[in-house]
Amino acid sequence: MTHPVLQRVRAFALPTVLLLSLADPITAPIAAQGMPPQPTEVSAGPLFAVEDTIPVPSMLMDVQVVTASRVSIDEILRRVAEGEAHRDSMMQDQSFTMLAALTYLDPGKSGAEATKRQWESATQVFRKRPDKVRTVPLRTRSSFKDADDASVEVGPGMDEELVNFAFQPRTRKRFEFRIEQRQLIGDRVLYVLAFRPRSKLDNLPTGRAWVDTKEFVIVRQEFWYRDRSPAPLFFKSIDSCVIERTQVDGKWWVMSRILARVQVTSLARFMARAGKEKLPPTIDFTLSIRDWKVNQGLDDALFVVQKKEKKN
Amino acid sequence: MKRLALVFGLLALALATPLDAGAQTPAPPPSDSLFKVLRALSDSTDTGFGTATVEFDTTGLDSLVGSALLLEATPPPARRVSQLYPVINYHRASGPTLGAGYRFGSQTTGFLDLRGSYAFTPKLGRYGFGYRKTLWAPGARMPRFEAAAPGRIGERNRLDLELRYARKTVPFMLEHSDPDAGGFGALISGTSAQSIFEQRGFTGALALWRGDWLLRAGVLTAKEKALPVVTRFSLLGKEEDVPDNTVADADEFTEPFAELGFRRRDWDFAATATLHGTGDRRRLRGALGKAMRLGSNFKVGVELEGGAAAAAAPRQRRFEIGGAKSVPSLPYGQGGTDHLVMSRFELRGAQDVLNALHLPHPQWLVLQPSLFFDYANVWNDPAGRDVVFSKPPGEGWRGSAGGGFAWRLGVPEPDVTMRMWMAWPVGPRGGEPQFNFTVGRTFELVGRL
Repeated sequence: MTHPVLQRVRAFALPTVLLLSLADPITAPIAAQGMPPQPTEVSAGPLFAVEDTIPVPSMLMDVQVVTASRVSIDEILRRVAEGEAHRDSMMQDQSFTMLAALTYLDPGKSGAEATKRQWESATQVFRKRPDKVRTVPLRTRSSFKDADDASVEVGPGMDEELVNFAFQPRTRKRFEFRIEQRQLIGDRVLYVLAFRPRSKLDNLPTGRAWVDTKEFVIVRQEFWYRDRSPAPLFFKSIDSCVIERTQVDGKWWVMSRILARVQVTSLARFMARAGKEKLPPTIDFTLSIRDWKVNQGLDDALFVVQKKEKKN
Repeated sequence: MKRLALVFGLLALALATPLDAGAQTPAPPPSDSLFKVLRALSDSTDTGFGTATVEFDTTGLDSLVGSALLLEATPPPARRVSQLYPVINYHRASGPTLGAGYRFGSQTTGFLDLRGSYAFTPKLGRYGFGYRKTLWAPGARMPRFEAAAPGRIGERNRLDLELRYARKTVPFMLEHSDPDAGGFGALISGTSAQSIFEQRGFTGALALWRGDWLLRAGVLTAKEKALPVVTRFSLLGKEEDVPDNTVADADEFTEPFAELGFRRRDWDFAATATLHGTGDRRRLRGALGKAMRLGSNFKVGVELEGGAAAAAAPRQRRFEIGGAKSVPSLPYGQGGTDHLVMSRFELRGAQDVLNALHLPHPQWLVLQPSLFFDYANVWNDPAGRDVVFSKPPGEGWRGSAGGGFAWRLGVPEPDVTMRMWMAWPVGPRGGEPQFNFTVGRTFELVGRL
């Protein structure tokens, strides 16, 4: 549907993209981005909103009507938290294959970066509510002196806290959020929300999350500790931690990859050398999760091994 | 005129055009638009991290996955902890003490902590046998080092059994003491006034961490006795400067104890209350801490502490101030009374001081500025009553203010911080200027929860 007022706007080719809300009143979302204050109460009916967060050569663009309601950043945060909780509550069981790796990056004497896959593992994981989990190690390749030096523990929780930690009701107020960007993708609006700790004394990261406001789900997140470290004795910084999600069966958003790059302190390297292990200045951690199956009706018998092990 | 007519004509045409004819109805978006965007972001991530990091060798993996459920259902091997650690201390009441400890076990079997040491000057042996077993912890098996340590509020729900038999030295006013019981200061200058006594006995307790709460309750049966000064040696100090060791009352008892803790990280709030013993051995203590943000670069922390002991409680159960964690311009051991009240205010900045001063330093050494003010009172109830609430005398207040640097170590737990400071007395009874450093937590008086 195209509104007649919008037609006229097109004819005069205004130098911005104009969005028209036909469904809900505008709730002053733009004020959050440093724009002039918007009226907090507006009359119902069609209204214009000037969109300036999408960097586009607007003169050349077609005008598109967006019927989705404009929401404030608080509303987005609240809905994301609800969406994540809903997503979590709807999952009864999961199975996936988890590939994990530690890669050492060491700039050689010539300056070229030498890489070495220090450790790698593949594990098949089954989880079922409320707290059942079974892991089947498929294979491990390790260059550590002690084979126990690296492992990835998998818990029974399906809430993917690593993705939504900043949006959880308990932690949300410790972060400052702002809308960094909006992207129109087909019939969706993808919000890029930047967040940073309100206090630099809080041991929390800075980052950004991509939120699909059609389902209010986080589809990707990046965070980092670049200007300070969560554990200064051992890590200089965490340059980047990227978490990617993918959709399974057209409805379940699940983690597909985690990549993190960590800079190690000279003290940590010295201590490792004392333990006869050699640490490089940079370590990459990779987790790739594939073959996702959700709510396939896993049998309780599958988890009997874990129960027996607990009793022992 | 012709041009104006043309403009009006075009405008009229634009307005008269049937809506549907002129409108460019957006084509239905491709169903995979979002995934194309995510794929593009993913590709840029791959480029940033490099092929060596992002790629896995998946040769043969599919067949392994296919047969995952056919593999023999044997439990994975238990991941054990095996740690050897030194025991080193020095105190005027024990002399040099050397020994070792060994911690081992797994979540399945529980963890055993054995330690033994020898105090050379008084020729005293010290030993301890500790056992910790997690009885209940819903969810997957804990990582081994998490299981080996006591729980923490904010981590998972768990119920632990804690058993310990030990012959050990215990500092007076344990809640204010340094981790090394003043050993470093005693060795260097000999002026550390932290006193110790001997306790030999058995402790059995259950500790429950659930949500934001900690509840620990148990029984302690022990004998306690005083330790005399056995050496006045120090590396840099004079023998006559070495203070006496406070004399503990000889005691033998079996008593219950309980601890209740609460912590909300999002509120920057923590509180604890402990109750030891009954009758003439009763000792009740509580502390709470709350931090508030002042802009993005500062935080102010407020801690309050209060305590009440039985009027006839043994000396080692009574309350003291002084030392690194309470009115630091006073030496350890001030008071020894049945009531305590104390407040501490700390302002901490987020700035990296060494960086701001352009001083070369390793990147892991991040010193943040800190200012503090302590105010405390210790007193005996004037009527000698066994009461919790008693009015503090006005002349008993003592204060101290100072500043220094805080270095958040982050190990072995995230809130462990080293503080280096200079303290000056406030008021006539505030003691003398002191320099010291101490290792503690965000809320020193609340402690570990």
